[in-house]
Amino acid sequence: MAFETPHDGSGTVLTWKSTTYTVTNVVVSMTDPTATADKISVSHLGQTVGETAKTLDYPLAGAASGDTGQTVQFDYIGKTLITDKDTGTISITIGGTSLLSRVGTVNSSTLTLATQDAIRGQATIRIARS
Amino acid sequence: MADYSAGVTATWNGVNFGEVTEISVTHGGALPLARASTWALDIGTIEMKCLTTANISTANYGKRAQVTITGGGLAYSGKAVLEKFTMAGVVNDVSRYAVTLKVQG
Repeated sequence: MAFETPHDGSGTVLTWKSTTYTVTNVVVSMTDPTATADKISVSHLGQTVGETAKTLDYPLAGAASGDTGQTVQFDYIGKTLITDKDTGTISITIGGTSLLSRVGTVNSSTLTLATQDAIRGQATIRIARS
Repeated sequence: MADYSAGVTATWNGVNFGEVTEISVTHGGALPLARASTWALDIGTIEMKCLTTANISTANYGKRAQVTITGGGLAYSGKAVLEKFTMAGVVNDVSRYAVTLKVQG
């Protein structure tokens, strides 16, 4: 999708399980969970200046974590408590254009009630890789 | 100007240590006895950490041989006795070796 730039985020609509939230902040993260820079350093003093540092892959493979590497975190105003582990579809549109619409699972959720402030919530949804 | 710790070669008993990751040389440890300047109860310790077998055999335990360290601004030569050999296998890591030599006059 292409968006006219600059775009300030206004006109963004976030829907989670068919409910549209009054969002104040949205962060979409895309990380490749299989990309790892971790290796065993086997560089040694016999190497000369300018030589490439030596590394080895770890001998054991990491256990599957179920992490898709992609999340949507959003802050909202409202009394709705989003339940952890809940699964549904999250959709984000910007100015009527769809940014994403994916199935996701709630990773974490908070609802804050404070004096002299609106009730505010925050949720992180782990979305399935497309 | 500082020297990079690179291009370092360490030899003991005529054989190079392999893939040395750390060298520590301490020359001296006790004051020379009487008027002698080279005779002391502790003349020093050389410690090396390696990623290969360090070319050390346990049969060399207690052996006194020439040690030479050169390169990377390090320069040391003398006689040393094999005091300790350590090897360690660690889960999800490479095997690591360590050698301790005791400096002898």
